[in-house]
Amino acid sequence: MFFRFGVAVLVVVAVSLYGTALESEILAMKRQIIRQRYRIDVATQSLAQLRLDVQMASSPVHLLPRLEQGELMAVKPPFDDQSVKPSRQGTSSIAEKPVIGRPPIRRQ
Amino acid sequence: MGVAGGAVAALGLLLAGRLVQLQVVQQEVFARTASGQRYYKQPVPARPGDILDRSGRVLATTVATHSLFVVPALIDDPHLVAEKLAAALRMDRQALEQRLTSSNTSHFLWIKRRLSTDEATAVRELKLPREVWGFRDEFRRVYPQGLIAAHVLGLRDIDGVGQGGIEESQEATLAGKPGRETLLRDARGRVLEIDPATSIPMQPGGPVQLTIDTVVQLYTERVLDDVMTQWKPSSVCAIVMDPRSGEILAMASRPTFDPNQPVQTQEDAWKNRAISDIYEPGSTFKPIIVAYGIEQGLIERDQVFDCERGQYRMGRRVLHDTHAYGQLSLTDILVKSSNIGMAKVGEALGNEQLHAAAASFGFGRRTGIELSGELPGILRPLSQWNSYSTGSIPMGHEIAATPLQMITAHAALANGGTWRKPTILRSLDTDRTQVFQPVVSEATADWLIEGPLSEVVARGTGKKAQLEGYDVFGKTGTAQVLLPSGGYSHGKYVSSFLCGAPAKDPGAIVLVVVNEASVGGEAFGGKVAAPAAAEILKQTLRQQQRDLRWATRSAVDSLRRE
Repeated sequence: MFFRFGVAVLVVVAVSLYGTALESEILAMKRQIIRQRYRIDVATQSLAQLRLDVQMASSPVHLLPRLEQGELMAVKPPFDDQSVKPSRQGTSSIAEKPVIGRPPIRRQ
Repeated sequence: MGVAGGAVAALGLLLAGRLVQLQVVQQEVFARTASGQRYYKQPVPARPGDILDRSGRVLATTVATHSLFVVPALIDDPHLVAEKLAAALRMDRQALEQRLTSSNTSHFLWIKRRLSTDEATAVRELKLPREVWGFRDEFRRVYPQGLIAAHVLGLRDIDGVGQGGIEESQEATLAGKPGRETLLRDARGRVLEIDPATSIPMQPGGPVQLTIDTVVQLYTERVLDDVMTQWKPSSVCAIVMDPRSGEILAMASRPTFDPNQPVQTQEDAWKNRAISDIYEPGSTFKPIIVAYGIEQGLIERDQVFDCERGQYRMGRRVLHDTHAYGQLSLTDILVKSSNIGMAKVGEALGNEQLHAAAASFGFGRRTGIELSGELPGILRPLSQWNSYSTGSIPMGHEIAATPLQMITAHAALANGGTWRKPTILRSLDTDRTQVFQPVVSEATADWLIEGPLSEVVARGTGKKAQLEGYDVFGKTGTAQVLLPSGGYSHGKYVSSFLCGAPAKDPGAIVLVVVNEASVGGEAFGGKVAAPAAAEILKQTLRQQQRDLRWATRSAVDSLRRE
């Protein structure tokens, strides 16, 4: 009888301990989820900020005056489908030659 | 003993009763109160979507920023706190102290919203007591291209609601859906955890892509700045359109505003004059009437009109031309912009057909562009027209149009005779429908573009719009400014020029409207607006063809100089 009682108590204790462990694991996972969400938020904000910085730096407002002053050199990307259009004057320029062997954008 | 026992029993009963009251009767109330103290639901604002140009460049985006608040009730020394915060945030110390003092019983007061990174760092470095201040995250709208396309974009107010332009008209797409999160707090109000089960994540706003080309827009804005400097008008606006699709490539107005610094904006700078300013189009309206007249068979392409040596009596009214013309062909009437010739065209059409011409080209109703604040212009009902109208309408008087209506009507001529609803949204959905309506035949439209309107630039009033290497067509317009009291103002003009190229299959058309140029004598459209429109057209065509020779040449030159 004592044995049965002891086993019953052990089972109850084991179930309780397992429940506690599960609860603890659930809490830890909840915390992880919250932390991941926070990290995603931070990463999203960081991405938005970096994207903004890139856009500001590459804005035509900043680049065009430098192109006009000759500080930068424009290069047609080879993947630009519209670049194959023939020029009206029929003259060639380095803008229409392959990119290889030419410096890309030069900064002073 | 009996008394003591009775007292103990009474106390027991009292306690038991109180227990029943707390645990049974008021159980729900207390449970709700406790839950309210532990759980706190706060809204999560949605991140507004980006606005992109036709190439994917970002015109408007959103970044997270800190907004500073304080708890005035917990501030012991408002003077000291105001002094520190004013120094860190470059604010007026006295005004800030006044605000802190007057709200000394309040538990929340915004000090400054949407701080820059430097300002947030400066506030942190003040090391103020933690319980009296805090940051709350808010979104800040940023326009990375600066002033570019300010009127098209509009802006978002302090509460993040779109005001004007695309920000307002596309609010449903851009705004997104706010979320909600449930915070579990301890007795001191510190957040222990965010309950993921009951939290609803916010849905960020979607992106909106425009047909605007930032490079064309930039050139357009530059040209308008030059016009403002050279002619000192009260306002000026320009539109660039692809007539084949009705897509707006650029739209700009002056005076303008900086969407990143809206506080410094002048009162008259908010208006997008391309859609919300109306003016008498003057001679730019003439090709519309001619096209319709030919299409209806009321006039012939090779018809010759007697222009009465510069003076023509129509009823009680005497019309004048700037020069005394004799017999003029229909082409020459447009090339020389003869008012008498157009009055005779008007007589050939009659009021009913003139009204039908204006209505079929979209005058008197909104074009339906996806921007808020568009005006319908003024096209009076036919019943209010009289014999004056027969002479006035063909010259572009007695009618008021927005610049967008004008360019849309001319786009119909440039694309082979189909009026298309102008659009500023570049839809990724290929099934999107676009309203269009054939107004004249392709033969009539092509004849006008390749004939009279090309001649206007080659030898007529639009000579200043000639571009090397392109067959440019165009039409000048000069109209006197209407006074609010009625009648016309002498010496004040609305000068406009509408041009496009190449004459065969035009890829772009440009309209520049200069309102009340104040220097340089009489402000004819060919003098004031034509050079500006031509410059915009040149840059647009260069951009459309991805012609970068100008940029490579200058770079090579600079290399050689070194």
